[in-house]
Amino acid sequence: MLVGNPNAGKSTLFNRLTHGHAKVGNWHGVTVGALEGRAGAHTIVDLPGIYSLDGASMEERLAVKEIETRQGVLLFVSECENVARMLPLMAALTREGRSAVLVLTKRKPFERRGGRVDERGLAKRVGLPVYYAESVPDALETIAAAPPVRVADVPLTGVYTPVSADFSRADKLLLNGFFGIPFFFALMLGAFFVTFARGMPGDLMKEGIERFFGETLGGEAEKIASPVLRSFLKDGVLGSLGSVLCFLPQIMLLTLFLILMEESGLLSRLAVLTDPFFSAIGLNGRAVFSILMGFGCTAAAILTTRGLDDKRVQRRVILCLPYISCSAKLPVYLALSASLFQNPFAAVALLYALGVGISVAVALLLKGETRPLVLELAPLQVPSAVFVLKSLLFQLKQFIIKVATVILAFFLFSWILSSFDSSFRLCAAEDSMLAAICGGLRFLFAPIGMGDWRIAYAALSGLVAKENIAAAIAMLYGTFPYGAASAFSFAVFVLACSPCVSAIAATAREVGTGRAVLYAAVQTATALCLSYLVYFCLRGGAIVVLLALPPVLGSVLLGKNIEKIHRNRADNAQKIHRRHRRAGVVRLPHPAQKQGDQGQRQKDGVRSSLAHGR
Amino acid sequence: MATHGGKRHILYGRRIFSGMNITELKRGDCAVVLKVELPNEMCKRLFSLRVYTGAKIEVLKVSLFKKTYLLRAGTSKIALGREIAKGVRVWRT
Repeated sequence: MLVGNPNAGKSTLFNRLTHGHAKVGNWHGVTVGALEGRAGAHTIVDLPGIYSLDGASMEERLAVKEIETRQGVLLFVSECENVARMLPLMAALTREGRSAVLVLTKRKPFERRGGRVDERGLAKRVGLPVYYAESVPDALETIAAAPPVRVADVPLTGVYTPVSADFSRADKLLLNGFFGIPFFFALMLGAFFVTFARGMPGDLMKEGIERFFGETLGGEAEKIASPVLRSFLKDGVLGSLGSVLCFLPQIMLLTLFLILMEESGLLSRLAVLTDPFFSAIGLNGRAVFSILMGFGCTAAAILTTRGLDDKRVQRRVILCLPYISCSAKLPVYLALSASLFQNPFAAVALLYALGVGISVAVALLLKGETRPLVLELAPLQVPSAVFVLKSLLFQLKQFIIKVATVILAFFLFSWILSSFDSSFRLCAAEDSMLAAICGGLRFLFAPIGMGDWRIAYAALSGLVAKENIAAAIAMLYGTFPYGAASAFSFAVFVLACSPCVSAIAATAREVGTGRAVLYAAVQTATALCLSYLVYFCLRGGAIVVLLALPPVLGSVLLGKNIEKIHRNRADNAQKIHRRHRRAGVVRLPHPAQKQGDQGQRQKDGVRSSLAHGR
Repeated sequence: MATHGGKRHILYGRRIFSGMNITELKRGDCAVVLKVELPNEMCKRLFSLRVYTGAKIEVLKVSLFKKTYLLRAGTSKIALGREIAKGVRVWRT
């Protein structure tokens, strides 16, 4: 039986011995029941992690019960770093003599940080055989024949050297706000440069994939005689696969950067540095990476929120991310502002700042209870290449399988709508079902001076990829024909509306499909309202908005305060009630007594009917 | 009467010391954990991070606005938010 603290490596050892697939996670509480497996002639039992014999949780009680009722050798599994803390548990379980061995895990990180274990000396000191996890499969027969032992809870000086936990110079620098923040900012900038800048690896790989799908495979599809099949393959399948998979290199580079930051220990230091700011707006320091990645790619940033341990914070971050202008929105901003503003850079910078402002506002609006930061600073180290590669391939596989299948389905559906008219005949985009649908949607953009189906078409094409909006405007109009107010309002709509389908699919993966679709719908609706407001302000209504803003903001804040007061009152009332129950002032009736009361009520009813002479 | 790293109370004529919490410590202070007054799940999490009754801790850094406390506990460095730090009673040594 594998016994030990949570996250000690029991399930990893179980999988290694039984070639099983017990769920493994870098978090306590992953194993929730006893798992049995076979390793040759031996039965291996993986138990949930326990800290002591009198644990309060269901899993700990189950583990203790299994240990007490089953016969067999106990394999005490402990991280090299936690041997001293395991001794009391081992001593308690072998008090009356029990066959047991000690298995040490996570040896390499322990030794890399300066720790040392003399396994022979340790075995002699505590009184039971000691093995490293790597040697357990070969030594299974010897372990199965281990004699009964009584573990001694004794000091380990001389046989065990713990790791050094001094506050190193590197930590002093990295955790200093004046050095740390510019350092991490430069790292992020470097990551973005390598991923998105022209001529850099991310951009080159993206172009390569686009060329492969568009020219190489698309060229072959051109040779197909049947127009429907040709359009299906070229525009439907290849077009959709190409537009999804072209994101892959950039997502791969961002994911690689995230894994390197995490494994090297830098990410935990960044989280500690930025936690004061993020906790003030209802998030926590762990969200910083996801927020920063949002400037590159919203879909990739949403996938990184999985590392957040608080589901509520994860949902809030996912709701804030679409307002962070990703790299795909930049061509749209430039296309809309270049021909209309003397200084397009100022307009673009304003849009980016507006996006950040809206994100912060959304975070504050949704601010509620959060789990405060509890984080162990990972040791600063050079990440293991094998581990980084395995993690990267795993993440990419998840992205390709899940996101690509959802998006492929969506693309094929939109291809049908944009390639066929209502009689299902192949036609140009202007005569398609999609154009008819967009014709019905053009009223949505009429309040910002653009009641044209082509604007609705461009906006819808942004669902696929935001860059498509710029391409659609160029294709359908040439240059943007409306004024500066309409252009800026449309840019605000693009800023605030639902993200692309890749990001929606990534959101669905994290919070569920229903919630993802709801978020997208609400974001699009609020984006429309925001664009109307901006247009109204730009056309001379700014004074009205400024006059109306204080009462509106005031009523929102008042509403939140009233809700908070009622919530606190309810909490206080419940606290008082619980205190009175504990003190015996309030006694709840026994369930049996309640039935007796019902019988009593029936009797009373009979008596009252008799009293009334019925 | 010396404070001995905690608050003083007089109860039934006897002096008792209830300790202080981590938020009352300054950078460089060492302390011993007296009690973790937090929900069970958080207690288990802190136990796995070597913050439990009797553990020795040292405050390495206090962040801006005292929102985050960086501690050394055993051989690890851990960061605790203020709400968590308030729930850990310690005895300053």
